[in-house]
Parts: sequence; C-alpha cells; structure tokens
Amino acid sequence: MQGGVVVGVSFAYLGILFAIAYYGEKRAEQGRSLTNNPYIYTLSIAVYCTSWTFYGSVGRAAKTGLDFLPIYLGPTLVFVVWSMVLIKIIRICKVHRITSIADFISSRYGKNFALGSLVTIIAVIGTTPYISLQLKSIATSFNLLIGFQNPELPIYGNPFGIDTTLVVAIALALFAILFGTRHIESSEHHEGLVAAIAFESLVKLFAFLAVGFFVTFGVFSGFGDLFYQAQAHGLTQLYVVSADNDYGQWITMTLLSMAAILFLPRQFYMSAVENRDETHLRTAAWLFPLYLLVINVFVLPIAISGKLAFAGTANDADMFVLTVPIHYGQSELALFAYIGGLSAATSMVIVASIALSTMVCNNLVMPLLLRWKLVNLSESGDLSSLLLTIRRVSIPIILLLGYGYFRIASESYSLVTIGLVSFTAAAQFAPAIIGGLFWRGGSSTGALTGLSLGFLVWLYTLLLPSFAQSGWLPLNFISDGLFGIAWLKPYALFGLEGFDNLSHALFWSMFANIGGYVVVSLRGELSPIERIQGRHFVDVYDDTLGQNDSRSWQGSVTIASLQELVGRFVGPERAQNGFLAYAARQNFTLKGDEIADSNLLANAESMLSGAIGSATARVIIGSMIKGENVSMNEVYQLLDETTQVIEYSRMLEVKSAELEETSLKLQQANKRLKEFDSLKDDFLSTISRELRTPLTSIRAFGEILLEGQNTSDKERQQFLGIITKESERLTRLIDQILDLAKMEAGRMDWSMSNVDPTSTIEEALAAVDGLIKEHNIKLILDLDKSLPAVRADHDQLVQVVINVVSNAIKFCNHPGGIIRVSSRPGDNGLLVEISDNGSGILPEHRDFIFEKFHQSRRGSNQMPIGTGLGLAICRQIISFFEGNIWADNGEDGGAVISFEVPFAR
Amino acid sequence: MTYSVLVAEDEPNIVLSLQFLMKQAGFSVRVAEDGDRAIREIEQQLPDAVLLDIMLPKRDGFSVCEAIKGNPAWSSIKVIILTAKSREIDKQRALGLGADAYITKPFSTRDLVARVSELLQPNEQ
Amino acid sequence: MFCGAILVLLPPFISIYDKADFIFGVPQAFIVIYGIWAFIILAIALGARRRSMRKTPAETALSPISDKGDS
Repeated sequence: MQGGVVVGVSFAYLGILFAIAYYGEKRAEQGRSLTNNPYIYTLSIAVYCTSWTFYGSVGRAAKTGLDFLPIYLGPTLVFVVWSMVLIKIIRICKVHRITSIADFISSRYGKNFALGSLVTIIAVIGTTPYISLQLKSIATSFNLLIGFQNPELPIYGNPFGIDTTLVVAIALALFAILFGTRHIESSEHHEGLVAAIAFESLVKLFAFLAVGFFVTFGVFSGFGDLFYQAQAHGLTQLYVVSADNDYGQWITMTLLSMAAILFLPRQFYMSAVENRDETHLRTAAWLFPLYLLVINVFVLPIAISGKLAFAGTANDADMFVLTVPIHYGQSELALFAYIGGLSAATSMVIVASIALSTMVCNNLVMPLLLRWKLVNLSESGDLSSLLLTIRRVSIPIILLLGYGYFRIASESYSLVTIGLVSFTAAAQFAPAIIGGLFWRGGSSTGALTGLSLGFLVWLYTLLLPSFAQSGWLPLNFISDGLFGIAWLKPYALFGLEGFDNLSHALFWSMFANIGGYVVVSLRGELSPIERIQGRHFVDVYDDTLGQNDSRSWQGSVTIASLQELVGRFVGPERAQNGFLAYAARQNFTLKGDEIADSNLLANAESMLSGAIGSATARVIIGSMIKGENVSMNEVYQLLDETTQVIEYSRMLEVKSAELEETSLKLQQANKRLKEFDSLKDDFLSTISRELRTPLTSIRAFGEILLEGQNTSDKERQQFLGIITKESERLTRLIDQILDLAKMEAGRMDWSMSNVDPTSTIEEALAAVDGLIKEHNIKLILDLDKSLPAVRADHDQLVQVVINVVSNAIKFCNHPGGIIRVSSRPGDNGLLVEISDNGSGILPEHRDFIFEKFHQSRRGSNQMPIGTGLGLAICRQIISFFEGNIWADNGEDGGAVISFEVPFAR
Repeated sequence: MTYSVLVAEDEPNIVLSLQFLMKQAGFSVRVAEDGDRAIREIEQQLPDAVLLDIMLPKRDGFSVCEAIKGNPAWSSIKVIILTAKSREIDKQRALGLGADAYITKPFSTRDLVARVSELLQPNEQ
Repeated sequence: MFCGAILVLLPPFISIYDKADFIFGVPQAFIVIYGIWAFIILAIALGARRRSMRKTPAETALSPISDKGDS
C-alpha cells in the first residue's frame, strides 16, 4: 500500500478525534454535556484495551493458547466488588477533588509531598515500557502496511528517512498537548478528551470484530470449521490455558490485571477522576466486562488463522490482525485494522501522558518550585500559564522516555511481556491505596517505605534485566547475579527459584511493599493531619465528618487577595465566578477588604486542589496564612483522641518561646475539648436514660397484661392507657432528639421565607387548642395585627410557639390556669411574650431551662410528660432566625417566656 | 410472714407497675418519691427490701444505698438498684456500696420478681 | 460471589475443564471460560440493578460547610 495513503488516513483519523474533542468541549460549555452518561463512561474506561489487546493478545494466543485471558478476567473480578472498592475511590476523588493517583495517595497520607512525588516517579517510570509498547505497535503496523511486499525493510528506517517510531512519538506528543493542556480546569473534567477516547474505544472494537468476522466466517466457515482445521494441523496446544497443569503465571496475571484496572495511572484517571456521576458505575460494572468479553471472542480464531496461513514462516504473531487480512488480499480491511490498532494505541498514550503530566506538574514540579521559592506567591502574575507550560513540557519528555525504552528493550520482548512489566509497577500502588481505604492506621512513612521497597524490587527484578537482555547491561548480571553474588540473581532473588520471572518479581515486590507498609505503619505514630485524612478516606460515607479538614484554616487574609491568588492558578474569571457562586450559596456579599473566614479559605483550597492537587493547594494556602494553621478547629476534630492531644501540646510546650502562644491556645482548646467530651458523654447517657424510662413502663405493663392473671378490667384499661401515653412520649422524644441533632449539626433543611407573625401564632394556638380546653385554661390574646412579616421558616416558627405554650400549660396553676400570649414590635423585630400564672421559674433555673433535658420535675399525672427538649429546640430555631429567646418571671410571679425574631428586610 | 418492700422511684408510671408486681408477689409495699422520703420511711419502719432508683430528686440512690449499708442497724435490708443507668461504671459503684442486686431498666418483670423473692427467701428457692 | 468467581477461575478448579476436548465443535476450555465469564457479567448486571446506590453528594465543588445552627 502507498505510504502516502496510510499517512493521510492516519492524520485524517487524528483530525476526526480532534473534531470530536472540540465538539465535546463546546457542548460542555453550553451545558449540554455529551459525556455525562454511563455508556460514554464505560467506553472511556475501555482505554484499558490498548494495542496490547489489539495486537498483543493474538500474538500471545498464537504462542501459548488461552493464557492471554487473565488480563481481562482480572478486571471482571474487580467489577464484581465494584460497590466496595471502586465506588469508594470515586467518592473520595469527588469529595477531595483528587486530580490523579499521586494526588490520591499523597492526600490520603496527610497531603504528604514526598509521597506524591514518589508515586509520580514510579508512575512515570512504570508507564514508560507501556508507552513504548504502543509506539512499537504503531510503528510496526505502519511499516508492515506500507512494506508488506517488501519484507526486508527494517523496522527503523522508512520512507521518511528517519525512524518511524520517533515520528509517531512526536506526533502523539503534539496531539496530547493539544488535547489535554489547552487550559487549566478547576474541576478536572475534560469532556472533549472523554468523548474522543470513547469514540476510539468504538473504533478499535469494530475494527477488531471486523477482522474476527472476516477470519471466522470469510476464510473459514464458522468456529467449528476453524477449530477443526486447526486440530488437523496439530494446533490443539492452543486450546488450553496450560498443557502441563502449571498455572503459576495464570494466577499472577489475574492478580496483576486486577491491580492494573484500578491503579494504572490512566485507568485511575479515567474511571475515578473523570467520573461524572457515581451511578454511571452501576452500568459500567457489567458493560465494561462485556466489552472485554466481546473484544476477546475472536482472539483465538485470528491467532489460529494466522498460524495456519503462515505455517512454517517466521511471521511476527503480534501482527496477525494486520497480516492475515493482507495475506487474503483484503487491503481495505487491513487499513481498517490498522486504524483500529492506531486508535487503541493513541487512546492509551494520550490519556497516560495527560494523567502523568498532571501528576508531574501538581505533585512533583510545583511543590518543588514552591519549596525552593522559585515561584513567588506574593508577586502578581498569571501562574496558570506556568502550570500549562510545565504540563506541555512534561508530555514530550514522557513520550521520549517511552521511545528510549523502545530503543533499549522493546526489540527483544513481545508486546504482552512489556505490558506486564508496567502492570507490576502499577500493582505497587495497591497496598497504599487499598490499605488507605480500609485501614486508618496506615501512615505516610509506612506508605513511603512500602512503595520505595516495592519499586526498588521491581526495578531490580524486572526493569534492569530487560535492559540486560538487550545488551545495555552485561548479561551475566542475570545469570550470575549482581557482582557475581548468586543470591542476588534478579530472576532468582535470595535463591527463590522455580517461578516464572513475573510471578517471582510480583512475589518479592509485594512482600517488600506490604511488609514495609504494615510494619512501619504499626511502629510509628500518626500525625494529626494523617489521622484526619485517614478518617476522611476510610469513613468517606460518614456524612457527619466535614468534607475537608481545612476547615481548620484561620488567618488574616483579605478576600480580595485570596481571590487574586486563586485567580493566578485557575484564571481570574474562573476564580471570580467560583467566589461569587460561593457567596451566593452562603448568602453573603463579598467585600474585598474583609478577612476571609475559614470556610472561604477551605473553598479556595478546594478550588486550587482541582487545578494543582491537594498537597500543593495546602502548601499554597498555608504559606499565605503561615504560622496560624494550628487552629482550635483542627484540635476539635480529634475529639476522641484527647490523650494524644495532651501529649502533642506537651511536646509543643517544650519547644520554647516561639510556640508558647500556640501551646497556650492548644491548652485552652484541650480544656474545652475535655468539657466537650464529658458533655457529649453526659448527653448520650441522658438520652439513653430518657429513652429507657418510657420503655420501662411500656415493657412492665406489657408483661403484666401478657401474664393476664389477677388484673381487673379497670386495671387493664388503665395499664393500656399508660402504655399508649408512654409510647407517644417515646415517639415525641425520638423526633425531638433527631430534630435537635440535625439542627446542631447544621443539617436541618430550612425553608426561609417572609412569614406573617399573627397568622403563624394563631395557627400554633389552634394546634394546642385541645390541650388548653382539656385543662380548662383561660387563654388571653393580645396580638398586634399590623406587624410586618418576619424572616423565618414558617413550620419551625409554629413549632416554637407550640413548644412554649405547651410548657406554659404544664406550669400554670391547676385548676384556674391563665395563659397570656402577646405580640408587638420589640427592640429587634417581632417580640412575642407567653406568660402563665404558675409559680414561676426559680432564679437558679433561669439559665438552664433552655438546656437539653433540663426538666423541672413536677409529679402531676394528668400532664403530658415533657421530654426536656422542647425549649432547647426553641432556642436552636430562634437563634437560626438570628433572634433571641429568654425567660423571666412576671409581676404576678408566673413565668414569662419571650422571644424576638427580626423583621424581614 | 409478709415481707415488706419499699419502692423508691419518682416516675409515677413505673411506681404503679412496681406496686402492682410486688403486691401480686405477696409483699406489702410502701412508696417514696425522693431520696429524703426514702430515708424517712426506713426510719419509721424497717422494710425487708428497697427497690431503689438512682436518679432520685433531692438525694440520689447511691447516697441512699450508702446510708442503708453503712448503718449496722439497717444493713440487713436488701437493696435492689433499679436504674436506667446502664454503664458498667455505675454498676460497679453501686455494688461497691453494698447493693445486693443491680437491675437495669427496662427490666423483665418476671426476672425482677424472681430476684426479689430469691433475696428475701433464700432457703425456699 | 467474588470468592466463587475466583474459585472457579483459578487452580485447582481450572484444571478440571482446561482440556482440549471438543464440545459442540469448540474446544472445551474455550467455551467453559467464556461461559463462566458471561455468567459473572450477568450476575454483576443483576446485582447492580438491585442495589440501591448511596446518594451521590451534590457536586461538592465549592459546597459550603455550614457552621450555622450552633448557638
């Protein structure tokens, strides 16, 4: 085929991709997202299928039969437990605005910079062989297609007069730069990219199926014929996984691919970071394994047909997908297959290089620049272009690394073997991530140790030998071990023999990795931030935790300078929009010269996280408000770990005068913490007691009635009445506890509106009318009907009046009770007074009656029994309305409870 | 003979149920709504057993228990603590003061009656 | 489910069906492995349909952390 045609088609294909990406982004800007559906999401995860799948599986199947399958069975197994692992990772990525796998690990272990950069380095080095695999496949397939009739054409050397692989690498680098680094996103969703990758997944699937159909039904007449003919040619060893019952590599490959689907940087990026909606996973969980199954159905048939077509000649089995159609004179089909292979390879290279460049920028370069003070935050200037430059420079470097590995090692290895080297590197992330998801005790030093050890073992047992085999290192390094020491042989470390290279490397690297992680984690102490992050990750579903530990920020930065800082990373316009949106939600007006509060700081950090990763974001915000980051709130978060805090503060005390102030703060916090803790404890035991009291009566009378003997009808009636009343009391109590808990946690759904005071009070009085009549109480109303509306939640305001009046009913004189309800304008808006003619409130109780479970005991049996929560709830509600509630005694000695609510503006 | 039981409890409905259960078991019953009343009732006439709540107004159950068990003339009175406090620390404190039994609310009526009878008539069981 | 799938796909179970014999004109190992695979996918699909998802939090992008309600 003409080289010009192939080059033309290749670039036309890349052009289509670019058009799709562009269209996807335009749609996203108009708010009509193309990618926000589970099918696109599934297809985008199918970036898993690279040219390894497209070409390499067939090559593997032609040599060893069915043992290419674990690479696809492993992911299927992972999706069996999607609801446990994957969904948790996705949730964490969303909540913490994670931008990459390095960001995830560094954020989990206390936003640790060293850990983030180590993960980045491992990811870059580990991905290098994988990228080289894609370059190799594109170059080989290209050369094959244009020079099939000319087999002596060498693989380097080509019509352009330079190395095809290098040309491919440069073209892809340009493409990835155009695709992924056009601007900095603070949300880290690249709709265009996702759309293009999904399209590529369709192309490679159809191309592969087309070849498969052609072979199975065009060349042969169906599966039966194909398998029969192969058998006749003695190819039955391809029909099994393993002819000699040795399944070591089968297990290893299954385990590796399970790790790979989760932790390959591009896989993590596509399935977790770019995920738009957790519910998409529900579809992807079965659709993605189905995609894998479908794309693999024809692997063995193509392999067999290749073996039959080229029997006896030394034809590269890795290229059967291409050479078989050519052999049968189907040059259009071969071209389509080539495009399929191109799509498989480009999707991997693009996503991997974008994911890696984000990591290099956010977790390696920016933190270093900040640390070395090469970037001055206090000067003005647009930093988003700096971020983009770093990413744009790192993409070609990553691709050139891949090209370098290709030149060094690729020649001597098949596609699958190269891929598995990368898989083993990705598996090194498994202990730190899985441990970090389910075990709070994992520490950053533990993760650092485990990752470093595992990575070193990987280097020594897989990467270096691959250099040696291609002659870059002396070969006796493999046969005799390093320095000729036998137990340092990279394929038989410490004398461990009898495994294949891969299982051997996986065993030792995981042994060192998990061992280092667990042992060091168990021996060390966790710092406060590690503990906080550990809780946020492990208990990510627990809504009572705040969403971000950085609530603890406290500083004296003005809103204007904070916005300016964020703007320099994400662009001034985006920053302004973000701040305005935040202000709108929080219902306040942004004033540039005001001091940013801790929530606003946390939001700024969160915006920055989306652009530059959590660790760097923390450093930046931290450097802005330096010296003030040990705040009270941070300490409060450690509620249940009082003792460790004491130790912490003691340590700080020792650290001389500069920390004196901080430690003083800490001590105060400590004291409050202890009070808080005992309050919490008292509160729980009080709740327990309050619940048990009605339960006791219900159970006792229930059992008495159940036994049945010796109870008169009258007694039965009385007992049943008590059970009913106590049940009601229990229900009321539970409702009120829940209400109160919600309000205190700030999670009540308030629907604030302008509320007319008079009709509200009348509505509340109607609700207690029955109770008032029952007790023959005289109700005196003195309502000012001309009052303006107040700003309140109508239902909750009714609740306040009901609670206070119920309280008055309980405490007024019996018989002859009088309750007086009045409303008029007060100093701070609407003033409502509700007084009774009872014996009043003892002065020593006056401060406590609004506390939870404060109950003035009063043994009157016909009264509805109070829960002790009614007035506490009133106080919560009124203070949410920014009003006031207080108690007094009236002139006649009865109690007066008054509250004020501001008028609507 | 008829044993006498003093119920020291401030929650009217629980008092009612205890009164009923003790009478049915054949004991005579008196009631005290707070700690001070309980002590006065005991001073007036020694009961054989006291069913004692802890969270009593005026004088709490711990203090009443201490007063009974610390007085040689009274220490033969069986003290059965009947409380909503379920924490182990409270139980240990009560038993440390000499209480004969510690039953948490809500209680099984059958167990309660069995326990009181057992304490009062050890030989008949 | 996960354990069951692992059990049938890994040794020693695999050696039971990993043979070159033909069933319906297709090698036995080929058809059994793809069959198990398809079955697992079906089971995931059914399971995913039944499962009620935990509620997704609203886009947490800049969501405020409310401290209101504490007086």
